[in-house]
Amino acid sequence: MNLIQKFYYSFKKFSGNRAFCINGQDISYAEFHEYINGARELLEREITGKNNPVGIVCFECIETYAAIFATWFSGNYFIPVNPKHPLERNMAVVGNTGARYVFSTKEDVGGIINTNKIRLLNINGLKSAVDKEPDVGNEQRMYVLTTSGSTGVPKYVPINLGNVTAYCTAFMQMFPELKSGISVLQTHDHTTDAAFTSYLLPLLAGACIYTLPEGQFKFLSIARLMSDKKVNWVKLTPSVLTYLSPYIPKLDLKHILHFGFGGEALPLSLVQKWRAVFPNAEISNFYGPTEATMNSTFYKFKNLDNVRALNGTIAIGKPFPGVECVIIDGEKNILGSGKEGELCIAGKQIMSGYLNSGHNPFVFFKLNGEEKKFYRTGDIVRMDKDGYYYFIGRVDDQVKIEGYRVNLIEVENAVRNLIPDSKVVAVAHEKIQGLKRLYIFIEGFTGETGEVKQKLIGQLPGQMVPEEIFTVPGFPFTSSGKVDRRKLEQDYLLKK
Amino acid sequence: MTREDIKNNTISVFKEVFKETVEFRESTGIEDIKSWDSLNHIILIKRLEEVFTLQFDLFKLIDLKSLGDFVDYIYFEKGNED
Repeated sequence: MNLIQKFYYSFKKFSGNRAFCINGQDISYAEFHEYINGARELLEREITGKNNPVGIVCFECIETYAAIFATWFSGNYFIPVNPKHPLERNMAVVGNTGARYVFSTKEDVGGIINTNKIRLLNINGLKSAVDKEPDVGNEQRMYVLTTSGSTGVPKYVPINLGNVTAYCTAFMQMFPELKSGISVLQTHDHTTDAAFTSYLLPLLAGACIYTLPEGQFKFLSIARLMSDKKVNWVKLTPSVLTYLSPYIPKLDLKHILHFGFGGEALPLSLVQKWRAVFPNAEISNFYGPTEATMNSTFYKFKNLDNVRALNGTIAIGKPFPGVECVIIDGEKNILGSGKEGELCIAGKQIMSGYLNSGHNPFVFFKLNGEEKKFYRTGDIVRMDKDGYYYFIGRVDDQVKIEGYRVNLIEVENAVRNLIPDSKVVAVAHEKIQGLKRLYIFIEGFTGETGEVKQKLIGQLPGQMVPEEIFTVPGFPFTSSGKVDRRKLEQDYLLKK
Repeated sequence: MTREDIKNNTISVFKEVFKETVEFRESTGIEDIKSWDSLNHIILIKRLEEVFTLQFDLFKLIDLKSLGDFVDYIYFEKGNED
């Protein structure tokens, strides 16, 4: 039985359990399965063949989750469309992945997607009792996610059934405590692979997923749902706790059994500050690039007295079963423990390659007599003598804004496209401690920076839109001839 | 402090935090201010707490979605004080 069939039988096995709680409404596994059948019937009437990309406008409702499974059960794959992203960005995603059919629970998707270019399939309230086994081959693709690219343009990451199967198998082996009776809070945006970890694994285990309401500040909704004592498993970006830190005295999360973090480096000081709020929770720090399917390494701990940390940042732990990691230097030599270098990952979780891109992110090494393909993460790490990995930084200008990957060069390119021949530098700066935003500097620009920002809002996802744009007479340079971003930050952002 | 005083001080804080050219009225909401994101929400709360010497209830913050909602909340908390 493959993973997709396992989901099908899991939904039958747990039919009486609550699968979701969305806006206070409980949905059983049986009812969820009916929503899947409804979307699947509609899709199979419209589309022929297998392995077709199907877009889904990811409003936070049961139909969105059902549409994802309907896509898989019918042998096709999922392209997430974020209703908060600008039209131009969404159309680039749809165009580059080739999605001609898009599920939505709303007919009016103006501003999100151009319906002249796609066929919109309305699944609002659509259910069916007619149910049939998934028709899936082992070569099936599961989804394509868009990430910010180090080459200055977005990259499209295709992940197939074999990749997801490897991850789910490894996770369930290492986290058997996730089972029926657990309630998991899903806090992640569907355009990131973190979202999958918050519903795929619970749905295999017969657990219940609580989702966040739309139209509210995420950190406030998370605080309310966690405090209502309805959820006992939570996975967040560390930024969410940073937002909520002023309210620590008001929060009592003794009922939380597991607190997972991912998407950003996890500061030891943040966990120390919060430990008394969730004293009973086991804590896991997850790490992994989208290209290696959700999470590649994890570090599980409970006691803060002997927690492994380096430079104030908690370890990213050891590889999941089936994942192999090596650290390399600039000449592609494999380094031993104690040395800093680029982390490379191998195993069945690694993607086959980017979609529509000539960029090759792989390197080959012979290990134990076998040549293996490793994905170069661009992350600089160090391994201790016990085999635990620690995140140190990046080899390029990629930053994380609240868990989202942002390559500064992609934002700089977006500005250059608006102002041809301009000299542009992007800087990530902590506007308040622990929470970064982007700032743009343009040399000698005489136009209206407000107009530039407005145009960027129409093109880029929120995390890539600069907080402020500065015009500077000239850029400072480091002794090695690179633009001195630290000096720009010092002169324009820290002195404010 | 009168409601009008609270409203004027609240508008000043909104102008300081959001730096946008929109006209700040009681009806001005999250959808009217493009830079009203999570981070600026936290900065707004912190500045209002400093200016009015109060602490917002975390679980009531979720219902405050316009400038007028903040004025009402602050007036309820501080309206009887000099």
